[in-house]
Amino acid sequence: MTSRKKVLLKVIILGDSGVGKTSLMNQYVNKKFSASYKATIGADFLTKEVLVDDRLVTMQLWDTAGQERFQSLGVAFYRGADCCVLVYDVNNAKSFDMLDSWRDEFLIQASPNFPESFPFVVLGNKIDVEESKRAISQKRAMAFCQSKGNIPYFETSAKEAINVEQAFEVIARNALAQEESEDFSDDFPGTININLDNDQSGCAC
Amino acid sequence: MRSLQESRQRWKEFNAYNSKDSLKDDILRKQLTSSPCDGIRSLCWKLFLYLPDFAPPTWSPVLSSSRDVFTTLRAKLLGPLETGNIGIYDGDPDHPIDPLAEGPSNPWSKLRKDEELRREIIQDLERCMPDHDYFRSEKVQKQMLDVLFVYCKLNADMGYRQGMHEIVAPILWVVDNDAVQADFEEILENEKYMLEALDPAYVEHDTFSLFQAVMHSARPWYELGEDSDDIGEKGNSPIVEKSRMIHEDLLMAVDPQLARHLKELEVLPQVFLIRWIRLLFGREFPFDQLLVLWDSLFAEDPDFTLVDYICVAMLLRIRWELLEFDYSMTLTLLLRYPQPKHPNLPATFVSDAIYLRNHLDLSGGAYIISKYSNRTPAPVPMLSPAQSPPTSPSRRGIRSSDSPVRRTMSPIAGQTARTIPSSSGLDRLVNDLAKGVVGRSKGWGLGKPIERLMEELQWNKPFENEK
Repeated sequence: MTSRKKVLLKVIILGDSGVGKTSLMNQYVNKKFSASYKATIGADFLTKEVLVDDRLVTMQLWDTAGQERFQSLGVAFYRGADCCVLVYDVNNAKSFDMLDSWRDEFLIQASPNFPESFPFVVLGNKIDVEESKRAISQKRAMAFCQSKGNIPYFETSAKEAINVEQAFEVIARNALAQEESEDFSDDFPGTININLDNDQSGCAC
Repeated sequence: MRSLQESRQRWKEFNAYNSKDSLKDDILRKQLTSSPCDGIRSLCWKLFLYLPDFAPPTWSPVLSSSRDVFTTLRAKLLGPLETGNIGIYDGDPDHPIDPLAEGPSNPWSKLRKDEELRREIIQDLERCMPDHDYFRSEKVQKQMLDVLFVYCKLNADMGYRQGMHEIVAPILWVVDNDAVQADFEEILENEKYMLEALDPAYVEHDTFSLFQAVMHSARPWYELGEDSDDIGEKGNSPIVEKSRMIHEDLLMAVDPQLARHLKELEVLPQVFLIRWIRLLFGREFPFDQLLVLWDSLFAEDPDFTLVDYICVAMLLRIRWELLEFDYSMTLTLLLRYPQPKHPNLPATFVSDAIYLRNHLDLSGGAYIISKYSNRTPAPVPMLSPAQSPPTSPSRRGIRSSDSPVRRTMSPIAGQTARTIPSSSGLDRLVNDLAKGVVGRSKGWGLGKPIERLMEELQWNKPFENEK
């Protein structure tokens, strides 16, 4: 594809209530953190323009309510997503256990053409909280991500802006790859490469 | 809390009204200035939502039985958590239960479930109205928690749904704020009615009663639609169906150009309407203006069918911007609704909604659009009844059933004569509980949860003495 049409990337952020989805999105887009974000009701929306390999793309970031199950927003909401970000709180084991069902349910609702290669990114948030509260080790989280087809994994702190920029760079890149593969999907079914440079994925802390 | 002095003046003014309708008319008329409910809002909301009659001497029995219901529910449902006496869950002291056994009959596992539910609610209360100091108080958060917990236990099939906390919050604030402290002061004979209705000892009780009355109408918006008869086409939840109806039926009837524009942009109406509707517009407008909007809404239509038309009125007020905007700008505008400026404060959406309910057609839409912009929408040639039959599909491929039908004699007009039900849900619930008649509460959608609760808690005992 040689055209340089305006690229819109649809990114959906999912995860249990209170893991920091809204905070991550606001840290990334507005470079701000507030300890007092209200609970998201339904969904919220922010956009950000970014350069990916000299290509200007607009990311449409969809923040969702953690308590919302998929029926509330309707199937159409998930369709056409280019990347799905799964967030959990590293200090909350239950939010980690739920990642698998968030992922499965997303694939059912969004029904992408090639579910096995659809790009997810997992974020383990709130690493700024003291170590003694930590419930899920980095090793365990990475093992999970590996078992699900090498999902890129980042440990983040929306509060202290740790790894947020890096994570969303990968999200943008993988979303763009997904968008382009959809354009070509008739010719090259299911061949996108979601492997990343090692120094980008994984935790930098 | 208010002083008697302060409330006395309000009460005097209140006594100038002789019916709910006269109060309502004044509320709607004064939308541009101040609400007649100011300072005595707690009483006005009770009148509109659960006190069956306007005459003050009729209030006492309803107030006291509604308060009794909450006292009993609270003791039953919160007792085990507060006292640690799980025997209340299971009245058989002769058969001790293994606390580690799994299963629904184990009272310990019920206790753990309850604690989980409370944690879930607390998580939202901690971030409820963060800019409002009142809601940072531990006491206030505990009151909201207890009200929500009792409601969620009563409605165990639904449980806690995010957003309920922001319905409770303004209610508690109003009830607490308008309560009157009148110890040792001499009072006039008829002031005792006001003092009973605004008794500071029953802030939590009255908050529960008001919340329950609001949720009686609002509950379907929170339902997921699983295992329910309410699932619409494509398995959508009730709120998604409602959003679709607001977009494709109501907005399409009054402003087809805007309705089609949103459709072409593929803006899903539920994306913004879920929040608008579930919170009764609580996030869209400043707190003090929201209360005035609620005055009008509760006065005009405690069943909240007007909410759909308020959404349409809000869309019409920003329709010129929406028609110009692309997808991202449109969603940004809808999810960050512009702050209405004086004199067009949020309560005016209620008047617009009433107008639209009675004029659900192109001219009704054009009237509301031009009222705020001095511009009238372009004629819609394809859909003008003179030029094409309303059933023909439009060239943009919108289903023919979406085409607005010009309704000169709208059946909706009949709704202007609607009056508030003589017996509110709460009132009936109170009576039914008191009489131990569960069946009759089914009409209010409360049958199932109460039946279940009674089974679980051997409910009828506390009322036996009252017979």
